[in-house]
Amino acid sequence: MKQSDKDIVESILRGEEHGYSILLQRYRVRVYSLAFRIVRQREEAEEAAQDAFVRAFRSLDHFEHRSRFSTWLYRITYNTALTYAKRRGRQPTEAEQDDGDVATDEIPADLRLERKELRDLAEAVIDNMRPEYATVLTLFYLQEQGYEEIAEITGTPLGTIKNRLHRARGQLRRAVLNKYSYVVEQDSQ
Amino acid sequence: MSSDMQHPAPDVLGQYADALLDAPEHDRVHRHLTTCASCRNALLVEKSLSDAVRTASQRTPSSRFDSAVLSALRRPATGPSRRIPYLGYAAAALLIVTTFVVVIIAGASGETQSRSALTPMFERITEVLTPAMELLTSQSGRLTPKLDERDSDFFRVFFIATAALLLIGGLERVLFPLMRQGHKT
Repeated sequence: MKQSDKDIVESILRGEEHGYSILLQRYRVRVYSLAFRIVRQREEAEEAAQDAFVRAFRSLDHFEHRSRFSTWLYRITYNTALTYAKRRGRQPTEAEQDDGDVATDEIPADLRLERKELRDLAEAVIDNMRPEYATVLTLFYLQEQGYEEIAEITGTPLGTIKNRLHRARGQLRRAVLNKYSYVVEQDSQ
Repeated sequence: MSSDMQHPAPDVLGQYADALLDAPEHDRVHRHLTTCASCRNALLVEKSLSDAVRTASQRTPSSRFDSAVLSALRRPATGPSRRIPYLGYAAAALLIVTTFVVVIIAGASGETQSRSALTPMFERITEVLTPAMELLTSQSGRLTPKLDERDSDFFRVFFIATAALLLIGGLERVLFPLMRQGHKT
């Protein structure tokens, strides 16, 4: 039976250091993915994610289980990654500043929207989104956090979170439908 | 009400796919989907979209990720060893001040010493510490220059050295974190 996060945290606090490895195994991809969405540079995102884990592990005795462990960990990751992004002085690119349709020119045109192609399309769109939109998408779909939890993690009003998710999903939908229309046109010829 | 108006908006279908609708709204959309083929197709797009975002958002860190976290965890929480210790600055300042005092005292024992604003203070120090100073003077007198009418130059050197130390200390506070950031990146 899968051990709960709470049990693992308590075992670590009792001195069982093996729990660190279990939590790392469980959250490494999600924490790194979130950091990457904010920092957008592989090495630096990895450093931010490592930093977030270390901060969280060192603060486990302060974690009061008022929220889920994952929510608490993502909040630390979010803040740590933001610090890294700000330190680097990252500015959103022109494409990211555009709220409208995203360019899909770089996406290889193919006749069928297979699963992998759809994934590639989504990845290209997300990569060019404003970081705050991409972050909300990542938290919602990959980390499976609800609206309230995302608001808590990012310190952003609930309405803003819903709006960002709506817009982000709208950008994706438009990109997919543009591609889909292209496929339909190709098929009908 | 026209049939078009009954079609749920794409975003509502997306929320339906993600199980985000409340029960009455969920039921309403569900009923509509049983009768509307175009909305069922649109729902497939929304579901594909959700799946694609899940997989597209996922990134895998390097293989050394876990070991890097665990080894960082074993290191002390703060890195004082990476900072130039302020104790070093204090020791350097003490050395300069001591040298300066010795020079003044040595000068005070010399015949060519001229008076300055601080001379009475050093004379008082000399009186209190006479036994030790005599020994110190005899040694340092051979090693340090006697003061003359240009002793104000020594004060200038003293203040410049102190100011330099403060400046270096201040710069260290500002520059060292930046240097550490530079190393990280």
